[in-house]
Amino acid sequence: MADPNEQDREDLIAFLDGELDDAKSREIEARLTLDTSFRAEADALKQAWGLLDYLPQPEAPADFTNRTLERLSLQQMRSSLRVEHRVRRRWLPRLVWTAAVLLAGGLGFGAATLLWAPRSDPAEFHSNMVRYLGVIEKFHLYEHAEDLEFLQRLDQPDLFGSEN
Amino acid sequence: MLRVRDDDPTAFAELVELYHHRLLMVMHHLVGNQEEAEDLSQEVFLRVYRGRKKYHPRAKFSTWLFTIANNLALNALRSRQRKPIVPLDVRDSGPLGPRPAERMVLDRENQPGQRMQQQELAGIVQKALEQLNERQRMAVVLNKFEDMNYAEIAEVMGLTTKAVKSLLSRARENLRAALKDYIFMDNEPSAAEATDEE
Repeated sequence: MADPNEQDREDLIAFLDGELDDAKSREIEARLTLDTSFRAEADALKQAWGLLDYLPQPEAPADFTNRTLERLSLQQMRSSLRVEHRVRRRWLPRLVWTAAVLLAGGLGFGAATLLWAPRSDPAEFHSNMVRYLGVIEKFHLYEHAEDLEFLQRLDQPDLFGSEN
Repeated sequence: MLRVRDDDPTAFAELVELYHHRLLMVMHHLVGNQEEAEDLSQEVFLRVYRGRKKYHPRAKFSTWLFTIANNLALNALRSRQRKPIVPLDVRDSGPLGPRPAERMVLDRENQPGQRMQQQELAGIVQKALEQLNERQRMAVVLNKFEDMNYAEIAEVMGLTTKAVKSLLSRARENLRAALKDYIFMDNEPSAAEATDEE
C-alpha cells in the first residue's frame, strides 16, 4: 500500500486522539489491519507521544500562592500610587492657580478695607452734619481766612470804628 | 472564579492553590525552565485577577485560564527568539558521548544509573519539544498534559478545530522525527543499532 500522505497522517493522528467520527474511524481501523507500514507509522507516532511522559514533572514551590498574593498586593499598591501621582499632576496647577486667585482676592479685600474704611456709624455722621451745618454753608468764606483768631477779631465791633 | 469576580477575599488564593500545579507544568513544558515558568504562571494569575470583572462562565474556567497562559507563553517564546537566552545548564554529552540505543538499556541493578538515564532522556525529549514552533508546542502540551480535545485547544488558541488537527499532525510528525533514535519498531533495530551492526 502507498505510504501515508499528509491527509492520511492527519486522520491517523486524529484517530489515535479519538477525534474522528465513526465512519472515518472504521476506515482507519480497516487500513491498520491490512497495511503494515500504516500500522508501523501509528506505532511510531504512539511511541514518540509516550516519550513525552519522560519530561520532567516540575514541583510547584510550597510558597507559590503566597508569593503570587504578595505580587498582587505590590502591583495594586504601585497602581494606586500611580493614580495618586496622576491626580496630583492633573490638579496641582489648578490648585496653585485657585490659591493664587484667592490670595490675590484676600489681599485686595484687605487693602480695600484699610484704604476705604467704612464710616463708623451713619447716625453719628448725620448728627455731625447737622451740628456743623452753619460752618459747612459758609465754608466758601471761611476757607480764605487763614486762622481763627483773625476771624474772631473781625467780629469785634471796635475793629473798624462805629459807622455813626 | 465567580467568587473572585465578586471580590470574595479568600477566593483568589483558593483559585491559585487549585490551579497552579497544572499551570506550572504546562508553562514549564513550554518554556523549559522553572524560574520563567513560575514567573509566567504568576503573571497568568495576576491577569486573571485583573480581568475578573469581565469573566462570564460561558465555558470552563480552565479554558479561560489557559487562553491567558497561551498568550503569555507565546509572547515569551517569541520574545526569546528575538533575544536568545543561553541556558545555564547545558547538557551535552559531547561528540564521543554514548549512543542513544545504548543509554536506553535499563540497568536494573544500578538505580542511580537508571535515574541518570531517565534524566538524560528527559533532556532529549525536552529538546525535541523545543524544536517545535511555539504553536505546535502549545497544542502538544495542551493535548498531552491537559487532556484537551481539539475543540478546547481551538478555543484556547483562537483557531478552528481543523487547524488544530493539522497543527497537531505536523507537531507529532516532527516529534517522531526528532525522537526516531529512541523509537523501537517491532522486529526492527533502531537506527542507532543498525548503524552499529554495519
